[in-house]
Amino acid sequence: MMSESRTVFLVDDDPFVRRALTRLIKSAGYTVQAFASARDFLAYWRATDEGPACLALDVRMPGLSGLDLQHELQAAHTLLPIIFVTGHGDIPMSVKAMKEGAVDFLPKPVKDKDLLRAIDQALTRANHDHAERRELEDIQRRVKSLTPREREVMTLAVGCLLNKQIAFELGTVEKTVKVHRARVMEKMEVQSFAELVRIAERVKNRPTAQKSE
Amino acid sequence: MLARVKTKRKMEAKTRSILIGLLVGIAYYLGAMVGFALTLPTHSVSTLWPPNAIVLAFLLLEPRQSYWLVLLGAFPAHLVVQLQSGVPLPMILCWFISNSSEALIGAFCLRRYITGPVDFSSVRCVLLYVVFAALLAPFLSSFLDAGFVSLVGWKEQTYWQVWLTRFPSNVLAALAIPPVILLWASRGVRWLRGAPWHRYLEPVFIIGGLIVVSVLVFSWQTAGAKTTPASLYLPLPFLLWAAMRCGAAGASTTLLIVVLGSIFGAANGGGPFVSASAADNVFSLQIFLVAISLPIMFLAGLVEEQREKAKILSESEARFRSMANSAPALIWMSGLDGRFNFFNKAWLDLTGRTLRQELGNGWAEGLHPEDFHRFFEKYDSSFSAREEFSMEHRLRKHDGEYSWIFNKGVPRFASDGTFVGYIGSAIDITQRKEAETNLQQEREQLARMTRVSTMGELAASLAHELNQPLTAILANAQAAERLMAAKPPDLEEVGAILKDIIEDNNRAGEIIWRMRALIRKENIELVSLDLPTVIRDIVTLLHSEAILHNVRIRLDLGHGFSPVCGDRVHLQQVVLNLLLNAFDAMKDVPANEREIQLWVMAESDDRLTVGVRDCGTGITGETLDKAFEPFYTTKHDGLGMGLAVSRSIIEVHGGELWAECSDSKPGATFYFTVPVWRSAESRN
Repeated sequence: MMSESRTVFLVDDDPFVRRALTRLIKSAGYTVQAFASARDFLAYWRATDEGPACLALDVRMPGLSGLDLQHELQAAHTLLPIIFVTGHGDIPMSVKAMKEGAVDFLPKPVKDKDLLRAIDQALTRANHDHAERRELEDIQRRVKSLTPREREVMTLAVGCLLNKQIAFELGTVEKTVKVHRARVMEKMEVQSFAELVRIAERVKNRPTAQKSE
Repeated sequence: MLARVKTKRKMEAKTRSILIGLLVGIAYYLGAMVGFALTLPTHSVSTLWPPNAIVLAFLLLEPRQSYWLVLLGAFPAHLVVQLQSGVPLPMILCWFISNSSEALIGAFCLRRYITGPVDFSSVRCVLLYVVFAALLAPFLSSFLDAGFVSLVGWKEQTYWQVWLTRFPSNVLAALAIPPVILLWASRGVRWLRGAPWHRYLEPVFIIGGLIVVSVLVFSWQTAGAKTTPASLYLPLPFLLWAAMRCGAAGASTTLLIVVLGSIFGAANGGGPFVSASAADNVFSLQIFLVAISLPIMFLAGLVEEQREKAKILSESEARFRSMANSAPALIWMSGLDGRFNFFNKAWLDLTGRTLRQELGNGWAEGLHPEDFHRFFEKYDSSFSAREEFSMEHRLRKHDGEYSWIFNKGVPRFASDGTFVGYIGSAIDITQRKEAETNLQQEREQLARMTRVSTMGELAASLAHELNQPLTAILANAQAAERLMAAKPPDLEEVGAILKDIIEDNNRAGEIIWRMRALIRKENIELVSLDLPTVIRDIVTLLHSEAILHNVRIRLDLGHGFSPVCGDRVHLQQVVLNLLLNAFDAMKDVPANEREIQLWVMAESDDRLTVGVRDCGTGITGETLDKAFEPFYTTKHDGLGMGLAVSRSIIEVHGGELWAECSDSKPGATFYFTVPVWRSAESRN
């Protein structure tokens, strides 16, 4: 298991608020990277490899607003959880933000406990999501190593068909199927059939996550 | 009826003519008798021959068309007188001609220059009389007279002997007699009738004293070694007294007494003029009398002239005072020393003080303390420059309340152009002033109302603006709390945090201060301001609002401008209004194109111009006209007072507010001007 990331991005156009929030978050032991505008952050974020982190974001800013930024990140299938910190949030705005997947919607001036809890929550989610994504990518890498025939065998096997039935389906013999099946178990790095079923289910349900430019 | 009146008048005229003729005749006869009586012993010609002078006096009293009447009246008397003394008829007739010519020459010449009564009341009148009637007429007529005597061969005298005898005699007569007749005829009688009894005392005393002195000097005293020439001066004090106190009438009367007294004395062998030969005595007596008469007559003329002038002056003074006191305006005067020497009744009624209290600078006690220096600064500078001035100031009324008065002072100059002080008039303008104040208050009230309503519209963004420093403060404080809990605490960072907290607090305080100023401030007070700073402050307050509207404000405020004369809050209100209008105008413009330009420039020395350009929908010509009208609005939630109020604010500042739209560029541009401090000062 990798060590948990403690990186927090902060975007606020007000330099004083930015500095104060940076201090507060840092005092709780997080690493803070602050940006004066949504565009600055977006440029940085696109240029670097994504790691688990969270984003504390002001809503109303000159140029790109916080909600606009959320939208951009959403479109890019990022796993960056967002905490909105705003001076003039209204209910429709917060509903929209939460629907789009925001972790929290905090009013300014923000209480340290609320903010830090939200950050903690967001980072947990980010770390979890990233771990999950890494796992999924790992599985996919394994699936990719299978030959087409092995993939067919795996698909049919997790569909709870017997080797005999699979052989019949593929127009081959049971022995061949057995060999394929053993190769699949090996390539997929699983010990039991139950484990294979679980992994196969995940590959089936989750689309391939990809960072888009 | 009319015919009867006319007949009556004709009758009266006829009676009057006969009366004058008779009067002349009698006077002529009596004058001749006096002349004979005053003839010195052993001398054939009279020292003083009054008849000619009497004729002259009557000619001067009567209009020119009645001259014939006077001469007609004199002729029989002349005839009677001369026949009595056994003069041959040709000589009598010739004398009448020469005597009449003398009177006529004098009368005609004088009438050329004097139209009114010949009253010796001015030096000019005396001079003309002396030159024409007393010198020229006897001078010319004496040639005629001497000629006649030579022609007829009367008494075997030479031509020049006759001339030399007659000339001084007639000069003396012309100086001594007609003035008395003329003056008593024109004024003396009226004076005798009108004056109260004690007014007679002085003339009676003078005349009595003079008669006594004349008797002493000219009759009682006999010529000889004991006679002192100094005694001739004794009548002089009385003559001077009469001339100074009683004018021409007094002078001529006393002169006549001296003339008659001295000649009478000499004729009866008394006085200083009897020692030499008869001809010499007469001559020196005549010289003495002429010499004393001329200065006294001139002196009397001068005295009368001065007295008349003083009378005219005091009359005009009295007229001015009665006019000034009946005028509804407040009137004052000041003298050469700048101190106030007159206040009219209206002024005294207003202040409820006495003239004595107000004189000098006493009135300034009633001047409002705030106006005191302003008034005297203006007054003193105008005074030394001899310039007109006017100003409005407060003056305490009798009831202790202050009145606003409009006071205008004008320099006064004497007729010869010398500066003599100031005269001023003032009117009570309290009512006008109150109306102005009310109007101003209403205007300010309206301005405040629209300002407050604008602040209401801005409430959300202002709250956010205020929320930012509060957020920073809270976050900083909480961070500090955590840092202090750590072991060891990072005190350096805590110090930095505290500094930031103070700064944020100031920031919040400033926002609140600006908001409160915009809401509370009511009256417009013009002071010296840095316009770019004023604008920057209000734009700062709009920071959040601009973000909300996705608008960028580009400021080009420049630097090095002269300070303007204005009221901070009201100018900010105008800028605020123009900016919010611009925000509104760009609602339908894509968010990334919404931009406002705001700049300050000095197009001329005496004013700064502020321009606000948006890139919105612009204003059409028709709307442009209406935009400044009250209650005109294109916004669904606006009062429509913004531009109307803004324009009235700028006008109070002495500037202008207008809008321009160009076809080539999108949006509208609003301009306003504010006078710079120095030119505003000189304007006041």
